[in-house]
Amino acid sequence: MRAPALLLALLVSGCGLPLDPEDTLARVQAGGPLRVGLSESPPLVVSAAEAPRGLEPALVRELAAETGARVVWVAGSSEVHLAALSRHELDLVIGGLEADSPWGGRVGLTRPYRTTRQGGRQHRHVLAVPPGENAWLLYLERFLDRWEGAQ
Amino acid sequence: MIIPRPPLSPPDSEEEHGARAVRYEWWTLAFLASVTVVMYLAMGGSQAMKTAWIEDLLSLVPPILVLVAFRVRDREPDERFPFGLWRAGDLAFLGASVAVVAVGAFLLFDSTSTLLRGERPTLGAMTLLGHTVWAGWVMIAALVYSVIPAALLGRVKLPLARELNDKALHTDAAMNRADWMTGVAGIVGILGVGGGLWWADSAAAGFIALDVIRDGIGNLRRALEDLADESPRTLESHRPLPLIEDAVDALEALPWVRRAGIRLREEGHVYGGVAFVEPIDDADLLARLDEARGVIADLDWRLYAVEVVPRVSLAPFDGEGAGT
Repeated sequence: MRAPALLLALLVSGCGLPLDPEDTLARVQAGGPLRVGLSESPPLVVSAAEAPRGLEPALVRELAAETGARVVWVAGSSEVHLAALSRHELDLVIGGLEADSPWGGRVGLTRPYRTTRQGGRQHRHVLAVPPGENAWLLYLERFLDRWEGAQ
Repeated sequence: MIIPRPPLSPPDSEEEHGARAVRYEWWTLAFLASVTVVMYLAMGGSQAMKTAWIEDLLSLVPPILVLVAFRVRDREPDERFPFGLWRAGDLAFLGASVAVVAVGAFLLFDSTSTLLRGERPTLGAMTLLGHTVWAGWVMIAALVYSVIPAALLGRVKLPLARELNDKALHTDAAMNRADWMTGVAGIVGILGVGGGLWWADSAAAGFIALDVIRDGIGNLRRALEDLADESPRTLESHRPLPLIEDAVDALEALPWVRRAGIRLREEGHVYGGVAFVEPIDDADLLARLDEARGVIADLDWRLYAVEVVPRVSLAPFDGEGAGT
């Protein structure tokens, strides 16, 4: 009868779960840099290389304001960004990513925060986080839920 | 002329236990089917959950085989199958063991390859009744649902399998044990992942896999030994069945028997074979052989249609060690 007691202890102490293996959320919340990889994807991300505009950069700014993080923009192709993300060299990748991205297994994707229809096809827009950073992902998902609720 | 074996007449308690086993297996099937649906809905993007789900699908195999075997084996011996279909139980045992090995191998492969690739399980959010919760909690809830009935069913089937001397049922109970252990490992793994230990999930699954494989290979070996007509052994400790010695002793206790010997094999849950007697003389031999058959049949109902063959001498068997 020790196993159930152990489980219960884990559950009680587990209210703060999940945690990040690489402490991304803690770093971002401690005012650290929020390294965002972005690529041109109008209308969601425009003029990525200069002063990023569009829906997704606006989301990132709101997120940064809420967490107190300092945004570091990194412009480039989303392919390069996602590879860097999988190596934990970025904290967030934006730029018209969709839920059926082939990168789904190698980085963490949020649930779709918005669905659009274009050319008879559904586009389910998501953001990408480093693999296994579950606290950071959950924080982002809750942020997106609040954002959606405010729309 | 084809002479089928006589119908088997098991005691009432046996039929009762059999009916209970069939009932448990239907419960198992219904429960496992519901678990596969719940797990499918909860698994989201988790590879570990997908593995647990495939394991659940495979664990449907033993109860199905047990149910089929219970139905088939009750067919009375006839001209087409003069020995009866008791071996259906052995075949179900073989199939169930293969399923257990497959589950273990699958688990082991999946968990080690995930570990070697350093893949980090990413579990995000799920919306439950309007609340955004960590997907890990939903998976843990699904796993708890899969664990409790599996543990209970395994526990009631085990003593029943002993009572019925049914190895397929015994293997199925072992499968239920594997089920709830993988479930618990999954819970520990997801909690570990939640605690920032990305390798916890795969490591837990790997350890369970080794245990499941060990179990499965042991069973598979016994299934093959049964089909190769190994002399009957006890279900769990796998020692030579005491009934063999008892049968020889009972025959040798007859005043007209000088020496006796027997060779038996397991046919599903019954024992078939031949007994040999060396009578002191051949007076009244036919009536004496009938008496010997009766002695064996009275010993245990599982000694099924054992023929008694007279020999002038059992001495030729001595050198071969086959006299007992």
